[in-house]
Amino acid sequence: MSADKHEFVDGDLLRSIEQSGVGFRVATTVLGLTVLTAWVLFSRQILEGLGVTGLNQPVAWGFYIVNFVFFIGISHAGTLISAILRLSQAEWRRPITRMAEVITVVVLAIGAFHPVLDLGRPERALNIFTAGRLQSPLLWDVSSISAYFMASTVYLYIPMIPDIAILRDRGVRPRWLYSFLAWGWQGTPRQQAVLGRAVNIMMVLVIPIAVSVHTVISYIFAMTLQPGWHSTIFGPYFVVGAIFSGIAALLMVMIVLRRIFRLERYLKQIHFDYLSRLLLIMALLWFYFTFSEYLTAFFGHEPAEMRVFYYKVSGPYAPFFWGMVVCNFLVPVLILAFRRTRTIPGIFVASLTVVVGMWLERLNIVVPSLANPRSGLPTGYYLPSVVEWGMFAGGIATFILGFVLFARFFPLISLWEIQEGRELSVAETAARLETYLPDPPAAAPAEEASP
Amino acid sequence: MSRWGMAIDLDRCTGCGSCMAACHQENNLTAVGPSEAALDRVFHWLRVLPEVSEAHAEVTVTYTPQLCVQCDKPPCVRVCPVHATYLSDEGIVAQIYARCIGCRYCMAACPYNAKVFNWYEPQWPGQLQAKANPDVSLRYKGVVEKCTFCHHRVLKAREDAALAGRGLRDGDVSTACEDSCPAKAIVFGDLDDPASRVSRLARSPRASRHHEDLGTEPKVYHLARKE
Amino acid sequence: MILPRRDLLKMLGVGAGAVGLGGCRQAWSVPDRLVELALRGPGLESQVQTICGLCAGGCGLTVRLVDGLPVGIRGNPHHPLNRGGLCPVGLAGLEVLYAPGRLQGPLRRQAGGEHGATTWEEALDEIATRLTALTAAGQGDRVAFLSGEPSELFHDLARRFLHGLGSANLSRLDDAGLAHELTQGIARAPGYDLGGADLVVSFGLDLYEDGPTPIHATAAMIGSRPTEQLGALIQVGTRVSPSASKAEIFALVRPGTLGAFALGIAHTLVREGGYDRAFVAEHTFGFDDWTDEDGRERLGFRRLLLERYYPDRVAALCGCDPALIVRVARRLAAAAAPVAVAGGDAVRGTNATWTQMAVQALNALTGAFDRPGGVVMPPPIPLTPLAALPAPPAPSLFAAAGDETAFGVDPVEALAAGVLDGTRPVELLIVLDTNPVFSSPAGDRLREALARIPTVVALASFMDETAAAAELVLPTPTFLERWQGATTPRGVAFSTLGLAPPVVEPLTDARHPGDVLLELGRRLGGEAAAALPWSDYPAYLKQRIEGLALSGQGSVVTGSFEESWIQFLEERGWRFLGRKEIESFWRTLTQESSWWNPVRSRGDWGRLFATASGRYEFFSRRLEARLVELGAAGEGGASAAEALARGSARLGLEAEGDEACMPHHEPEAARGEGELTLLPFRPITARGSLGVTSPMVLEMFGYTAFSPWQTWAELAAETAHELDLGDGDEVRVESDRGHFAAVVRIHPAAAAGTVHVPLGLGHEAPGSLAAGIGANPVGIMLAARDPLSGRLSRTATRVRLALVKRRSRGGPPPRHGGSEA
Repeated sequence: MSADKHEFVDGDLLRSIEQSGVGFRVATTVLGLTVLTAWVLFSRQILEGLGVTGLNQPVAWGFYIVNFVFFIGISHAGTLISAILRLSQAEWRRPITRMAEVITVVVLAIGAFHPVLDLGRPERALNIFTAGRLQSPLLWDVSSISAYFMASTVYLYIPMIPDIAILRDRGVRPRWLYSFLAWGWQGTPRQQAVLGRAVNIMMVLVIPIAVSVHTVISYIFAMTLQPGWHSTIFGPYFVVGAIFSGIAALLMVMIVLRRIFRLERYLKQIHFDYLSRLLLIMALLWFYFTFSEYLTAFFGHEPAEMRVFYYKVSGPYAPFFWGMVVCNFLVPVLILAFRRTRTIPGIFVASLTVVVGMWLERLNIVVPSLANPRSGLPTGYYLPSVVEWGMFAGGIATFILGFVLFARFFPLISLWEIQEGRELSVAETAARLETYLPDPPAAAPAEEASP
Repeated sequence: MSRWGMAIDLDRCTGCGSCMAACHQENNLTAVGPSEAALDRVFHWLRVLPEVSEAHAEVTVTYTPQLCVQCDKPPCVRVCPVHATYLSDEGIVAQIYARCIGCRYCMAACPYNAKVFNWYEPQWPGQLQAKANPDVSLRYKGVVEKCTFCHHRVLKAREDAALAGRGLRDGDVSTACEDSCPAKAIVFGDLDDPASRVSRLARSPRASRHHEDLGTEPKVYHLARKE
Repeated sequence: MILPRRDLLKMLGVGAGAVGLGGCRQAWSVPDRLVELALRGPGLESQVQTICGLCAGGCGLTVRLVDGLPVGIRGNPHHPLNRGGLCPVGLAGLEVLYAPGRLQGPLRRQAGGEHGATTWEEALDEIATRLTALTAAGQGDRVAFLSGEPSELFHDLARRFLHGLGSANLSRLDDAGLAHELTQGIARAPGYDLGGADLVVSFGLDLYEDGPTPIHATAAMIGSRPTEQLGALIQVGTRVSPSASKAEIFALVRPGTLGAFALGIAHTLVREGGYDRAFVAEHTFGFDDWTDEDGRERLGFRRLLLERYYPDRVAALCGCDPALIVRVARRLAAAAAPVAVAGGDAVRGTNATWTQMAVQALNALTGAFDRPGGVVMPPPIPLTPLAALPAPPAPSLFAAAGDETAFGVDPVEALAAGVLDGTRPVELLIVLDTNPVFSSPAGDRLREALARIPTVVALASFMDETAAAAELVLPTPTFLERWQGATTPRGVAFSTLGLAPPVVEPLTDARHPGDVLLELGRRLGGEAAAALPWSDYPAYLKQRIEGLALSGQGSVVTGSFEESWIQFLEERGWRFLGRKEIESFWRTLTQESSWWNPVRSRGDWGRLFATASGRYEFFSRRLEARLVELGAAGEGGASAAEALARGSARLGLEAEGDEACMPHHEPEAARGEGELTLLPFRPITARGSLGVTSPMVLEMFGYTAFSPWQTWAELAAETAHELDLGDGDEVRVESDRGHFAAVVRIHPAAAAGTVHVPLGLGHEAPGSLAAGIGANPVGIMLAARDPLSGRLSRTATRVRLALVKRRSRGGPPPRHGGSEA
C-alpha cells in the first residue's frame, strides 16, 4: 500500500485537515462557548448543591441519569456496528467504520461523565476506587464502561495508524502530533500483519464488552425492586435500544458529514440503504421488546406496576410515552418500509425521530418509576431546571465539537481501508463468494452410486 | 448482640405527628423552607402519611408513621457503590455521611422512600444551631441521610448499662419517636430477646411489615386489627 | 512562633466554632458568654423539669441541658397530664427559644409610625405616667387588659393590678363556658375523666389534636391503657380529621347540626329506656313535664325529645342515615362509663351554646356527672387566698351583655365597638401574649380601634399583628426563660399546678409580664402598689404556694406514675406540713415543676350543680329568666309566657316558648353568598400562637395533607367534581368580606358543601416565619353571633371558590385497592 496512490484518488478526504476554513473556527467557537457555559453551570451546581436541579423526593434521578443512559446507548453505534460488520466481512462497511468508532469514543466520554454530574459530592467520586463495592451495579457500570472506553479507543486508534502515517508523510501540521501517533508506521508487511491481527482481536473483544455495557446499565434499574424497573428483559431490551439509537445516530452523522465534507463519492445510496434496513429491523425488534415489557406488566396487573403503567400510558407521561412510540416505531417503520420514502432525507428524518424517541424512552424508564413510589408518598413531579437543560446542551455540543475537532485532525473515512477495498477486496470477495456457491455438479454421484 | 426492631401499633396511633417532630429535633434535621418545600424536597426521617383505602364502599383514612424499616436484606445497601450505607451488626442500616458520594442510588432502590438527600447545605436560621443535639452529627449538602434508629441512644444506653455493671435490658433504649408518642404506640427494643416487648408485639397476629412480599425483611412492624 | 499542638487545636476549634455559631449573618445573636460556654464548656449534662407554655395544655417537659444550655426537649414521663407525650409544637420549644424573629428589646412607635428602640425605664415610666393620670382623673376603668396567659395565678395578679387602678376590664379571650352556667350554674367548665371513660362521644372536637389538652386526651384514652382496653371514640363532626379517623363510629353531619345529632341520640336513649333513670330522677330538673310556680304546665325535656327529635327528622337535618343515630345511641347506652364532649365546630357556631347544652344533656341522661369516667369537678388548688380588693365601680367592658345578646359579648368585638362608637372609651390597653387582631373575626375592627386608643402596650415575644399596632412593644421571655405557674387546664378531671423557674436566663432584653405589672404597681404607688405588695413574681408565686404546702393535699409529681400510687394517696388522704417545711416543699416543687391532686371527693353535688334547684337543669331556669327579662323590657304587664316568647323573638330564635330554654336545634345563621360553608379547624401543628416561629412546625404544618408551609382548602371529592377542581389546584376562597388563596386538597371522605381551612397561617407581621405564608381564614369571616354568649361565630360564613391555577406538581397517592387511572 503506497502513499502516492491515495493522493490521487482520495485526496478529497484530507481537504478538511489540510485546509481548515472559517467554518471550523466559527463552529469551534460556538460549540466551545456552549461547552464552557455547561461547565460554568456545573461549577454552580458544585458550589450550591444539587438543589439547582429539578430533582426532588421521590424523583431523585432525572436528566443526568436519562442522558447518561441515552449517550451510552448512542455509543453503541459505533464500535459494535463496525465490529460486527468487520467480523461478518461486510464489504460496504469500509467508509462507515471510522465515523462509527468516533461516535463511540466521543459519546462514551460524555456519557461516562454524566454520573459524576449527578453526584452530590463529585469530589468524592474516587471513593469508588478506594471503597468500591463490587456488588453494586454501579461498580459493574464503572468497570464495564471504562473497559468499553479503553477498548473502543484502541479500536478506533489502531486502524487509524496507517492513515496518520499518510498525514505524517504529507507533512500536515502539527507534524509532531502525526509523527507521534503514527508510531513509526511504514507499512511493512510485518506491520500490516500485526495491524490486521490487532484489529481482529479488538473487534472480537469489543463486541461482548459493548453488549455488557448496556446490559449492565439496564441492571442499574433492573436490580432494584422498583415497579417498572424490576424486569428480566431489561438487559437485551437496553442493548437493542442502544444499537437502535446508535444506528440512527450513525446515519444522522453520516448524512450530515456527507453534506458538509461532500463525501457523496464514498457514502453512497447503498450504504444508507443497507444501514436503514438495519434500522428498520431494529425498530421492529425494539417494538417487540417494548410490547413484551408493557404487556407483561399490564397482564400481571400488580398494583404498583399498574400505577407506573398508567402514569405512562394515560397519566402525566402519556405525551412522552406515545411520543416515544411514534418516534421509535411508527415514523421510522412508515418511512423505511417503502422504497419511495427511503431516500436520504427520509432516512435522516427517520433517524432523527429515532434518536429523539430513544431519549424519550430513557426518560420514560427513569422518571415514572421514581415518581410513583410504593411507599404512599404522593405522586412525584419532575421538571428539569435550567442547569440540567444547559448540561444537556453542553453534552450535545461536546459531541459535535468532538466531531469537528476529529474531522480537523484526522480523516473521517479510513483511507487505507477504502484503498484496501479497491485493491484487494473485489478479488477476495469474488473468491469468497465462490466458496458460498454450491459445488459444481460432477460425475461423483454416479461414481458413488455404483458400488 | 441485639437485633433492634420497632413495633408501631396503628390501633393506638392517632397520627398526631409528635414522632415526626421528635425525630426532627433529636436528629438535627433542618427545615428546607417554603420554596424548597414547593419543589417536594421536604425532609423527614420519619413522616406520618395518610393512607386512603376503600373497602366495601366505605372510604377510610389512616395516618401511619413511616420511617426506615431497617431491612435485614436492605435493597439500599446492595446497591451502594462505596460502602456508605451498610447493615450494622445490630441490624441498623447505617449511613456514613463522610463517605457517601451522593449518587442517590440507595434512594432510587429503597421501596420505602426512607432515605432523604441534602439538596443544599442545611439551613439553621438565626441561632437555631445552638439547640443542635450534640450526640448527632450534622450533615452537609450532597449526602444521603436516614433514620438511624436513634443509634446514639443505643450507644449511650450501653455505656450507662456498662457503668452499672450489667447488660442492656428491655426498655433501656428508647428512640426519640417512642419517647414523644402520647399514645405509646411505638415500642423499640431487641427482636432477638423473646421476652422483649417489641418481639412480643412482632409475634402478634396483628403485626405485619410493609411490603413484606418484597423480601426485604423489615424490622419495623406495624400492628393493626385485621378486618 | 511555635504553638503547642493543643493550643493550636484549641484555636482552630474556637475559630471553626465561631464560624458555626456566631459567624453567620443574623438578626440577633446569642450572648458571647453562651457561645463561649457552648464551645469550651466541659460538656456536663443535666436535666430539668419544666412546663410547656406554648399552649394552655400545661404538659410537663424534661429539658436536656449541656453546660446549662438547652439542647433537647421531651415530655416528662411522670407528668400526669401528658405522661411523656408531647405535641409537635411543644417539641419545637427550643426552636421558639432560639427563633430568629424574636424581639430584642422594648420598642416604641416613632413619629413616622415605625417602631424604634427604647429602654425599659422609659417605657415603664411612660405607662406609669399615663396610668397615674388616668387614676387621678378617676378614669381607671378606661384601662383594659387582654391576656393570653392561661394561668390562674397570673390572672389573679393581673386582676389585682387592674382592681388597684379601679378597672375590671380583664379578658382571657377563651371560650365561653356559658352552657355550663345555664345548665349547671357553674362558671368554670367541669373536667372530663377521659382516663376512666370507656367511650367518649366527641361532638366536633378533634380530641387527639385540638381542644385544650389533646396530648392529655391521647395519654388518657390510649397512652395509659393496654391496647385491649383503649378508650373507644365516637366522633360526630364535619371533618374527617386524624382524630376522627380513629373513631369506632364516625358520623359526618352538616355544619351546625351537631346539637341536633346529640338530641337525636338523646331521643333514642329516652325512647329505648337506655338512660340512667335514677340519676335523672335524683339530680336533674325539667326532664318530665312540670308545673311552674304560677301553676302553668311546662314542657319537659323528655316530651321535647320524643316529639321533635326522632331520628328521621334529625337525620334529615344532619344529612345522615337515621340508622346511624340509633347505632350511636345504642352503643352509648351499652357503654359502662361513657362521656360526651364538645369542641371545635360545636363551640364555634351561632348555636354553640345550645349545641353544648345538648351534648351536656347526653351526659345527664347517661348519669355521667360525678361518676368515674364522666363529668367531674377537679379538686380546687388550695392556693393561699389573697385579701379581697374593693370591686371596681364599673363592670367589665368584656362582661356587659348588650341588648342583642342574652348573656355576654365577644370580648374583641366589644372592645373594638366600645372604642369606635365612643360608648366605652379605652385610654390604655395592655395586650399580653395574645394576638386578637389575627385570631378574631373582628380583627379588622380591633385594628381600627387600636389606632384610636391613645396607649396600646403589647407584651409579646415576637412582633405579631397586634403588637405591630401597639405604641409600646415590650418583649416577654419565652416559656423556657420565665417563671411559670400553670394551673389546671380546662376540661381536665384532676387538678394540676405547674410551677417552674426559668430554664435559661432570657436571651433578649425581656421581662416577665408579672414583674412588669409589679413594677408598674410600685411606680404608681397608692392603692395600686398596695394591691401588689410583692417584690417580684417568684415572691408572689411563693406566697400563693404556701397555702398549697400547708394544705397537704395532692403531691408533687416525682417518680413513676402508678395507679397503685393514686390508690395509696386516696387511702392516705390528708397529710400535714409544718411551716418550716414550706421551704422544702417550694424547693421540691420548683425542682420537679409539677403538683397534682387526683383525689376527688364524690357526692359533692354543690360543686357540680350550683343552680337554684341544685340539680342539672334540662330546662334552664336562668335562661328562662333572662329571656323573660328581655321580653318584658319596656313592655310591662305582659304575662311570663308572652315575655318568654317575645324575648326569644328578640334574640331572633326559631324556637318558641319552653323549647328555647332547653337544649334544642337552633339553625345556624349563614352569612354571605356562596356555594360552600367555610369551616376552620386547628391542626395540631397550629397549637398556641408561637408555633409559627419554628421552621420545623411550619415544615410539617400540613403533614396530613401533604401541605407544608401551605394553607389548604379541604374539599369533598363530589364538591370538587361539581366545581371542576382537582387536587393541588390553586383557588381563591372568596367571601363577601374578602378572599385568600389556598391549595385544594381533596379528601375522599369529607362532607359535601363545606370547605375546611386550617387556622394558623397567613401572618402579616414580621415576627413569625409564616409572614406571607398561607392564609388566615378568620380574616374573611363575616360577623354572626351566638345570641346567648355573644361570641362571634367562626362557622357561619358562606364562600365561593374560584380557580386561580391548575395543579402543576405531583398528585395524591392512589387509593389502595384501585389503581386504574
